[in-house]
Amino acid sequence: MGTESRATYTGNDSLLRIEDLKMYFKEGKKYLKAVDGVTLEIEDGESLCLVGESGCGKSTLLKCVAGILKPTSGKIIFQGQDLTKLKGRKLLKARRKIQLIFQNPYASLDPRMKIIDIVAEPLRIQGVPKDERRKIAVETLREVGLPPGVENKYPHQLSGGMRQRVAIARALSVKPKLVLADEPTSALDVSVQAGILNLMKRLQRDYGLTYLFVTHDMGVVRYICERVAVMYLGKIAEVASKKQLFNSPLHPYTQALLNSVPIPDPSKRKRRPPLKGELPDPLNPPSGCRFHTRCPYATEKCGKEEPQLLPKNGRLVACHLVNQD
Amino acid sequence: MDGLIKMGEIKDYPSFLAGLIIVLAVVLTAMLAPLISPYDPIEQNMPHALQPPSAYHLLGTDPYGRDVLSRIIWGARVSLYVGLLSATIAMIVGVPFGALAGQLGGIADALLSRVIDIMLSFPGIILAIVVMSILGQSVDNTVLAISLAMIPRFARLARGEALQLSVQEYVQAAKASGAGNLDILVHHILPNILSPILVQYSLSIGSAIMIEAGLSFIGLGVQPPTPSWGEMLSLGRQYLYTAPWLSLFPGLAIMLTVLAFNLLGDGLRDMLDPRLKRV
Amino acid sequence: MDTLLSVRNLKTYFRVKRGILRAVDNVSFDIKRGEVFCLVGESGCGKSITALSIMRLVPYPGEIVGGEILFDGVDLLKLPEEEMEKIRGKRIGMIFQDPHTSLDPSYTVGWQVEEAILLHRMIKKVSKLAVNLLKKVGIPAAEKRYREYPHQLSGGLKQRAMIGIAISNSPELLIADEPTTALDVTIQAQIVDLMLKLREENGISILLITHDMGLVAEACDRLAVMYAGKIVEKGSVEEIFSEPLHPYTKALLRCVPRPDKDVEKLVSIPGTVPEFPPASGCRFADRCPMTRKECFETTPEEVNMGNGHRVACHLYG
Repeated sequence: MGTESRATYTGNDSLLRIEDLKMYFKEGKKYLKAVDGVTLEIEDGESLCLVGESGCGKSTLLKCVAGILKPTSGKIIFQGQDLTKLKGRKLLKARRKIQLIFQNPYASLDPRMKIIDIVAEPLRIQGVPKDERRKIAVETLREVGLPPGVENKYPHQLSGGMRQRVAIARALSVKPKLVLADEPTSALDVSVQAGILNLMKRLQRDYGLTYLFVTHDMGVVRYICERVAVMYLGKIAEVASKKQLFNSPLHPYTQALLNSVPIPDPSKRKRRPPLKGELPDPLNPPSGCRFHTRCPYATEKCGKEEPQLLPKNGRLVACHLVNQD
Repeated sequence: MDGLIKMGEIKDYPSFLAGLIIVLAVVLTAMLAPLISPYDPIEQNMPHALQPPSAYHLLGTDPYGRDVLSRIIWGARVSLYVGLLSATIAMIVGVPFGALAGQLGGIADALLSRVIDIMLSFPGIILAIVVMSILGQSVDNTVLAISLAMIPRFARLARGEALQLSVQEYVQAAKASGAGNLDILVHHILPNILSPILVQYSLSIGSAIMIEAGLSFIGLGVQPPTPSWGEMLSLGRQYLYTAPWLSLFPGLAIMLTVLAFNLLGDGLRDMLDPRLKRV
Repeated sequence: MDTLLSVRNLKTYFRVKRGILRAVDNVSFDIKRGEVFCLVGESGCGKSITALSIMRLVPYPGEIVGGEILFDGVDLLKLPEEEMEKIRGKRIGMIFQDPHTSLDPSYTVGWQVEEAILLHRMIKKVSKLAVNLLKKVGIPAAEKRYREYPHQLSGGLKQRAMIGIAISNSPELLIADEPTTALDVTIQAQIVDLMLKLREENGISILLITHDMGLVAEACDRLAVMYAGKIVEKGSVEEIFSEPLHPYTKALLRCVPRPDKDVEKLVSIPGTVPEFPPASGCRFADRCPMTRKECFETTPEEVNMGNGHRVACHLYG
């Protein structure tokens, strides 16, 4: 199958299929619709980036898949099983194949636990005997490039980059299929970030991992992902292959996002007019297309009718303008 | 729990050190009471009643001719017994309840919080009086009454800490790996709330000693002739002008011991809080 | 263009229990009138402490132990505190990384702008001036926002208000410490745009502190790259991006994932920044791929490579 058809591909070998997922939070008398009807498919072995600005729902979506949040409605079908319907042992078994890496390696490791116990924790929860899980933990620590002796240290004795490697080792220890990463490098310095991104790329190749990668950094997207889903205020605006997205973004929001990113090359300096306006209040999202209040091409229809996520030139776009021609 | 306190660091916390020394001294005194007390604390000796401090009776004698120093030394046993035991019971009961409520949230939390609020709106000593008058008077009932009054403190503290911890990413990570609530409580919540609990524990021993003295003072605690600092104060009250040593020395003993536990608690707080650590 | 600010051999040390932390060690650079100058580096390199040193707001236990900070010809380090107070907020404005904590939550935005003005100037119609300032920094419905409290504003609007406060007395220098790091990219672009517009319209000089190489390339004229308390390289943005000389600068430019082109493999820098670097020798030596013996022995001097491009590295000595 060519890259052109990938964005819309709905074959049976999708590893994860999110169907009409909704996650609402009650705030006073209103509902914050953090994720509002998202449908997304991830193939076995690919890496998909979820991008968008703060409050777009990308991290919430990830937490629903990780099982930290219980979605309001919708399905999360992983290897043919709907995770929202599984319970007890079966859920635990399915969960083993999905692991999560957090944004802040300073907060995601228990300060009172030794590194080896942190890495072995998912194995302990899965009921692996102590000797075996310690052996696996040590092997995994070597695999992510941490030196011997790190096992018996505590998180505060390690640098940010090393801690994130520990978090990756923890996720890797149970041999997952799907790794969810929530801005795993945004708390790190660039020189350290490069090492982590390279490691994640190598691990994906070596272990055949599938990544669902949440980030706001378009540079990271371009480096690590094959396919990109752009979110805005709880909805998906565009799903496209990396090539399509960076060469010819279709949704006006995707265009604005790419246009806003500063390029580390002074010869490409451009004084582009930045996108106008603020992100709307997510408690009172705009009617119709949620982007219409900031969109330079918005028409009357955009304020009234909500655009559907429809296939267009081998990708999915939710925009009246793009979909009508 | 290695790494929690480094021995070399203790010297950087003088108030902790002072508290520790006094507490150890009181503990030793209580343990060695039969060896170091110059007289029998209970046996009456009427001819020597109400003598001011002298070379024979360093801290004087009471209206029954008993040696005040000996009674203070033996009284340390009661104070420590009641203080340590009731704070320990309160901690053991209060912490898991509070931690679980904070971690689970929802109805369990709301329910426990209300119960705590109600219990806290009762002055501890009044609650203890009620319990004592129902159960009758004895040292063990005093312990029971005081620990009951102190449970909500531990529960509330543990709840607050657990509430904060439950949204920590490492707790979420464990949850995402499929860990159950009990697993998270044992492996992540309890070890991480240990430091503030320890501080509270030390402060609570101090206030338990205070409550015990108060109860004995109003005649509800330890019964005479068992020596207890509160009961000694109570007795001394009638002789405040004629024999002030009767109230002064037990009062000092209470003050010093409570102060020591408070210093210990405050010192622990400084030592265990990485934010207060000196670079 | 003449020089507005000249930092010469600035040394800001922190006396901590484990020794002396040389957070800023012998740092020198000039900022010309109307230029955007960047201090670039990773966390802990001393860029923020340099900025705070210029404002003479170094937090305890830090202390400026040497050097000169010539602002318009006057050494700020020799001024009495009262004189310095007249310069802070009037001739030098400053904005910080986190707009959510830089505004006082218990006062309205308008009140805080007015306070900033009234600290330095006695003006009768201050509210009108404040509203105009909010308009100038691009806050929509400025009259309404003037009466609102910080929590009612989004991060982008708060940062605009902060810029409004910083420029309220038409300063000659604006120090911006990671002003866009806490903001979303589309909002980030707006803030950068606003700062560049202020430079064009008012001829204000900007000292931009950042770790974002994209922002540097986009916004600044000249830059200095800092590592572990020292400037390793400085020059015009074109020079440094097209021909970086110091091994650290080279690595820094090649470890950034590029949104504008596909990169096969990023370069990462092994090791970590030394917390207490040795007194002599190059501070990057233990992580540098090009080290020689002398790198560990003598501290490299700054070498002029022409066009104002200077580098402190033994490779060019």
